[in-house]
Amino acid sequence: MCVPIPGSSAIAISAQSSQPALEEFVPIAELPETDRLPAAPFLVAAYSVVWILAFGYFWLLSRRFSEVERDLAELKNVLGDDLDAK
Amino acid sequence: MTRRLFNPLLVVAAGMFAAAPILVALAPNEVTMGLVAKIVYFHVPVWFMMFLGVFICGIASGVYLFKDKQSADRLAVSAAELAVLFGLMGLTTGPLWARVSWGLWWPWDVRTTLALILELNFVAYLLLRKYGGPGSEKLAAGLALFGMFNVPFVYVSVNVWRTLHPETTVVPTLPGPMAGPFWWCVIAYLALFLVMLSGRRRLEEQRAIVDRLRLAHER
Repeated sequence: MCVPIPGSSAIAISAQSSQPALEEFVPIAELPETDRLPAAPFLVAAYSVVWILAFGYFWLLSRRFSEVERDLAELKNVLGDDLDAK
Repeated sequence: MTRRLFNPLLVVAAGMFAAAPILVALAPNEVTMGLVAKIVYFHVPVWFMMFLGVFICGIASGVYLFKDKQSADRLAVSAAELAVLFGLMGLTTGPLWARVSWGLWWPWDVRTTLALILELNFVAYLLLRKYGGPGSEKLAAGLALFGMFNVPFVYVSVNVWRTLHPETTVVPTLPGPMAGPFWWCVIAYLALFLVMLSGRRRLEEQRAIVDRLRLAHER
């Protein structure tokens, strides 16, 4: 059975409040190393996303063009046969 | 845009797009945010293109609604697709920048929330066009007009409300070594946008020809 220790939550809260909260913007260069994230992976990821989406869209567009051109060729054949039959 | 301009514009867009990373790499780091601020060279231009797509879609939708021009409708659906594409680029590059600069992926502040709503507006436009059935073109055109009138609110939100997002005064006041690569990227993205729009519009025209031929065959 779990028994809460009286005042434990009060101790935790007071421990947190002893560290002053950040109230204004701090430049990255002034933050401690443990609070900094490496920028390069995020930068590379952002550029990669843009390139992948752009090339992906071109690929999708060319696939849709192929489908439409195929439909157009089929219809022209069928209509050509109909005209010949008449 | 005529077909004669398409190929030269494609070459220009490809060349500028390929050169952009070199210019960005040579640009200086921003003082407070460091290396990660270089995402601005892609993040801001893609949002410019998203807004351009929204305006083209909105205006073309208005012409279609009030003048019933099918060519305007084809332009509108093409522009809407590009608005969603470039919006998606912006909505992914933004959080990647925010995670490093602000310490969180998504702040739910005014600018980011309104931008997300704008993107969802045009996703809804495309879904309506695809699955809405007969008559959905007019309904979607109304939705596009609504989306277009939201753009000014998205743009000025950072100046009116308190938000983490940088204000609109940042771009006009960029120093020379950063302004050059930035405007290069804007023009490169504009060329890319025009190439994509031209191609997408041509696809709609081909589809319209196929539909006309199918109707003629069924008769």
